[in-house]
Amino acid sequence: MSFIKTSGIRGLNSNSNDLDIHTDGSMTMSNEMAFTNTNMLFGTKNLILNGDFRWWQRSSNATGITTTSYRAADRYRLALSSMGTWSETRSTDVPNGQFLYSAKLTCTSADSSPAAGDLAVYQQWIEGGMCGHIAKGTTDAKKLTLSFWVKSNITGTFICELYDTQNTRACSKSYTIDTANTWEKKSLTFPADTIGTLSRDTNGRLVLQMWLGAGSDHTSGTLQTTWSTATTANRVVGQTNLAGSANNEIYFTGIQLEAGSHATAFEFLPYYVQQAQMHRYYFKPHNGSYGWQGRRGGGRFFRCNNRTQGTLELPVTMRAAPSFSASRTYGDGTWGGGTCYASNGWGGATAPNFVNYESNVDPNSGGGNGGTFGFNVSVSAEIT
Amino acid sequence: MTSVGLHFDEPDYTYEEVKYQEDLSLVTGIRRSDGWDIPLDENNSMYQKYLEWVAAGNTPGELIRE
Repeated sequence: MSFIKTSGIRGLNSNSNDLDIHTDGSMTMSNEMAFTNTNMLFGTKNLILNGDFRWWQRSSNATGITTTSYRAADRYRLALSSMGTWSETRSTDVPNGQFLYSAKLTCTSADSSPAAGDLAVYQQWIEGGMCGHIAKGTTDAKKLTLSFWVKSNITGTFICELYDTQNTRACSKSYTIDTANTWEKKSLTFPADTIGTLSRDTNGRLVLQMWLGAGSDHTSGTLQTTWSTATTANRVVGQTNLAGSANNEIYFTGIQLEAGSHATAFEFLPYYVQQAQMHRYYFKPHNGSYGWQGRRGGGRFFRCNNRTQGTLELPVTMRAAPSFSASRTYGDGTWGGGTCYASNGWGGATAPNFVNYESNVDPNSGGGNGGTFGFNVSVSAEIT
Repeated sequence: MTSVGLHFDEPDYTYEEVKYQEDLSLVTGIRRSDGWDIPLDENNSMYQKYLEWVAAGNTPGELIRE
């Protein structure tokens, strides 16, 4: 093996260095840098949104989870089939000072002897429209590299799987948690898949699955480490059962899935960029409150036909026309029983950029200056 | 969109078709039993789940609003 030791590189016509190599190993480019085969090394390279778990709009501590749902961290779904009871918590236990939070998944009620079909997976669904550059299903298909930090109180083998929902194809890779209660950085490279194109649309076409446990239906074969038609028995072979004992826990942060065969530094996005990404799928107004202060005016409703109505302009265009949910947080007098719902309005109740909503209470029906009511509002266009 | 191989336990929701008094022939949305109002948008995953629920032989109720 030989080495070149130099402090700079310059082009044939350059009078100064185009690349300076400093004594500490850092490098400075003085001119435009163009990579012809980068597979998106720069820019928004991470297919996983909220990889650093900065966003928790629904809850920072969801408990008693027994069925599949989005409960806490934005864009992550804990998918379960009869595999214990779980909590999903925002944790400040992180591997280094770059991260604010991790996701802590705790099994609070064990399933030490899972039935054949039992499953527990932490997953994220990725829109087809985000996957164009990986060219899946073509001869230009790219490898994908997953990297993440993980920590658990138990050691053993765990499985990460990429699942193509459009073509029912899958590929699994295993990793080992070597030391209990210690942050470890993992990197797994998935091969390119030249079969099965992904529509570049808004549907969930690719799913990252971080397995937590599985019954024999999914573990009895040979681990499928190359892309092929999903074979149930081959998908999660060797998986440690995190649900084996109550209080088992696992932490994740810094999850990144990128094109290419190398794990690059985690991509930290500006807050406002990440905010827009999250609001594409779920939006909960900052204070969670939409209300009315009766005849005093104010609030975000107006009165119409003895009811109150309003339009919520969404901060970004959502993935699809969203679903709407509102729960009453307060209401005095006659408004104590008020409800709030998406209303048909004048152009459809919801669209990707607005929600028309209505409450069944009439603010003029109260006495004095009118009363007050308020609702917590949530809007969801998540993928399942 | 639920694909083969990605079936998990989900809460046992029921659904109601939302109609307005002025035109009871028109379904304007779907109300899920946990309070979510679901638009009739095929890209909305809750609506996709509702369609699967109907395809499985279930019948929605009716919620009439003024």
